[in-house]
Amino acid sequence: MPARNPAPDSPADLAALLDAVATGDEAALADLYRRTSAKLFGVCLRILKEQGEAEEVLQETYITVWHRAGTYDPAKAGAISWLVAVARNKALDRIRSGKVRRLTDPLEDGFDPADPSPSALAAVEHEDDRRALMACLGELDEEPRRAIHAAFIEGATYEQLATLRGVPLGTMKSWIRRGLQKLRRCLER
Amino acid sequence: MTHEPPFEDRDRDDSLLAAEYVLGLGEPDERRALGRRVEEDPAFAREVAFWEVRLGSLANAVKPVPAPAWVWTRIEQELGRVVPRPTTEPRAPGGPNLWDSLTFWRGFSAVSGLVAAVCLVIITLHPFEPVRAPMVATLMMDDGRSGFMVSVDPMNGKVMLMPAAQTDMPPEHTNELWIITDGGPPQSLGTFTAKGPVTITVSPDMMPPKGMPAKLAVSVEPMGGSPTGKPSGPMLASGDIHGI
Repeated sequence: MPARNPAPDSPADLAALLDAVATGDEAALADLYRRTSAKLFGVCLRILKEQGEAEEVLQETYITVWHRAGTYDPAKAGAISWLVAVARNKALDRIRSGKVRRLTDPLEDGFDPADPSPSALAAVEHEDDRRALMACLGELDEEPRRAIHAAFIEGATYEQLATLRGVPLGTMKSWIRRGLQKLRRCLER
Repeated sequence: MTHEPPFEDRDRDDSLLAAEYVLGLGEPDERRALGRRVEEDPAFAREVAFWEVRLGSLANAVKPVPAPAWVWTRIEQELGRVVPRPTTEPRAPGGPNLWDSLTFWRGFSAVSGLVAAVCLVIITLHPFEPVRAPMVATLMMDDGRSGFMVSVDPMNGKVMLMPAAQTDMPPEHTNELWIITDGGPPQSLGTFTAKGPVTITVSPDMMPPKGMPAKLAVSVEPMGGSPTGKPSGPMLASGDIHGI
């Protein structure tokens, strides 16, 4: 197990670690795991809700990172965003494959408007992206904003979101789709 | 909002499809098809990357949770199997290559001979342990009924549980399985729901050494497991592990 108490991370540190992982440096992978696995495990747990499933997806995530670190481009994305995308993608593939039963209401505590407080880890990277996203989410109506947030954090489906809000499926789809279109236009400004 | 016409599936452009893919909103079939498009269609892959980068900071709202130590152990094991150990590869192009070094191989064969000799001594002194046999446990509830029938495969790190009685679970809670080896503190083996038979994969090093007394216990915990690392909710059932 890698040692605990990692030093404070900077985006450059994490990007440099991914760069080293791409050359086959296992020590760099261990260091990356030490600094980022708690965040990614939290992300997996929120979507999968089951400890064992989340552990397996976390394992798959770092194996994928080992093989695909060379495709990471620091000019295009923060290292954490890239890692979160790999982990979420694996968690969503697993939960949508139907092998994992959804046990609870997926929105147990995630149906909040976007949390504006940055975590210690994310605060250091791509702060401009975060501010732009929060500003643009703030321009959306409340329903689409909350639904998009819940879909990202909890991996909720259109059906689950519609059931939870007590609206027809078509209404929820329209809210989210128009919200995403508006979000895209705002983010491109 | 409700006076607007419905937003039909066919009205989605690639940017919207990419956003739905990133959020995981599409149907499973559509998700698989879009996953293939990401691999094959660079323009669509760029749309997906746009949303992954832009939405990525929403993960700020997710609380980090330390992963159990065995996840890293399994990653190391898997990497050891599928990739060459990077320590045997030359660091810089043009630098000295270990595999071509005569000194290295001379040293390696001397050390190998020594290792073989030491192994022979160890094997002679400690004959191989027999294959670890499966074990079983019946976890009893406070009212004297059987709560769970459990079988343990220590070689493969599999624990199979079968609920034997209906148990009441508060909403948004889960069961957590604990192992208590030789009177030590309970260690978590993972969370599960007691609606049917379930198999929990655990690290083989969490299994009790042969001959050491051990108990299993099931507690009621918040979703995701006990926040403290120790049982935090009521104990549903517990029982000793026996050889068969």
